Amino acid sequence: MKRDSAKELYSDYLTGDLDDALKVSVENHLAEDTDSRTEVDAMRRVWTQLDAMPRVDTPAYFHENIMSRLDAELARETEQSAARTAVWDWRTLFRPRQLAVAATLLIVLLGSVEAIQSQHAALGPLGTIYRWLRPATTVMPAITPRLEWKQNTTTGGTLVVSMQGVSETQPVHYRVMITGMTKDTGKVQRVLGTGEGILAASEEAVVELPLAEKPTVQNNNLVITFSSIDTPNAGAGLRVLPVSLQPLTSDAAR
Amino acid sequence: MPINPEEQILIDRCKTGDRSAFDVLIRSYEKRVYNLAYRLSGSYDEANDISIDAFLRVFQAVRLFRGDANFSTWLFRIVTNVYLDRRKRTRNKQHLSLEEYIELEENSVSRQIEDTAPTPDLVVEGHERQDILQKAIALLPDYQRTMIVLYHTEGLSYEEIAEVLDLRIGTVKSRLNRARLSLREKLDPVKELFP
Repeated sequence: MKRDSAKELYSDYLTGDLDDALKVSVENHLAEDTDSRTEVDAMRRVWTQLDAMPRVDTPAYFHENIMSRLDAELARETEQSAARTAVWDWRTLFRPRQLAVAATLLIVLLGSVEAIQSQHAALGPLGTIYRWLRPATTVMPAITPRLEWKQNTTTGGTLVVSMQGVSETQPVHYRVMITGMTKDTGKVQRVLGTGEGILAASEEAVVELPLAEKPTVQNNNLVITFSSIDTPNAGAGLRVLPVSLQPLTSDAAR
Repeated sequence: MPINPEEQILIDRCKTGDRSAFDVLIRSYEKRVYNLAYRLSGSYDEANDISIDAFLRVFQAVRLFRGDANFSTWLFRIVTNVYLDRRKRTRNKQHLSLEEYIELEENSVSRQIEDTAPTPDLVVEGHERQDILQKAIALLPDYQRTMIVLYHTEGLSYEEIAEVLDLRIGTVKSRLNRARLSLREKLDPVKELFP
């Protein structure tokens, strides 16, 4: 085997990815060629050092800097969008013919939608298309969760989330996710637990989330996220509720 | 590898423009992103800028994320692209001279090509060896540097690197081999530091 051909195989040789025949060829070459052997040894040493390169810490306020840049970007986009809308409004106001046509179309459209709403079941394929274009939405109920921490006798415990729907007539199959900070992760926000259940009007639903330790709740850092499972595209399918310290009745239920 | 359900929920919320979901998502990846950016650029300041730019791009483009690949792979592709874009913009401004030296505390080691032998009794601690290694990585061409960093410091597999760089696995393997050989050559003048 020539030196250049052997060179092409060094990585696979060091990772053990060569088949037996090629491996023997490379080893024969290394046994005969001192320079190649030296090169492979050096490559192996550098490789070891590469794999041992340490992680560097992020600078102070790194996360805050990212979020503030994001906020600035969002604000800039909002301004640009508002400016574009303003230009559109101004031109439209001075084009009464176009405005009149648009208004007529809107009235016809709204009337059609109302007619279809009451009859779309009888429209056959058109009704299917209508339902596809405008799926029925389920609005998530307004939820006021109560949290209770039940400490285990050994380690960890259970975070009990109780909630009650107040304005929903249809039961909602929902998922609940708790994100927050714990002692073991320091400042890192992470998902603490998830659960799911059925929520109907005037009924209290309870989800129990087993956790390794009692969540630390400071500055509303515990967040409960509800999402509807049956209608994930529902208009108000997501609710994010920051939870303050007070609802966490901690050790009272021990 | 499928995306875990919690991450999928966060991504879905990000797609609706949910800032708080993005906040949580960033926290779980910011350290890896910063490390990747640092190992690619070799500069803490530049790593900071690359990371922020990358996360902004992620927020703007997350609606386009279809879940075909891992979110982390998709994210690393964005970080790598941000780095390469910045390199393209600054390439003409940078001009490394062969006369430049990597400064050590009491000695200087030539960057490459020059045949200056290292001082035999040079003693460096582990972090100084890592420093030299980082500087040698910075001397590699962009495509070789990216290969080395993704494989060795980020621990990506050949398949994941192929996804990040949009290359075939065979190309990844051959380029990675050349990158390792090239890196070894650059470290040849200071090979005593890598016993």
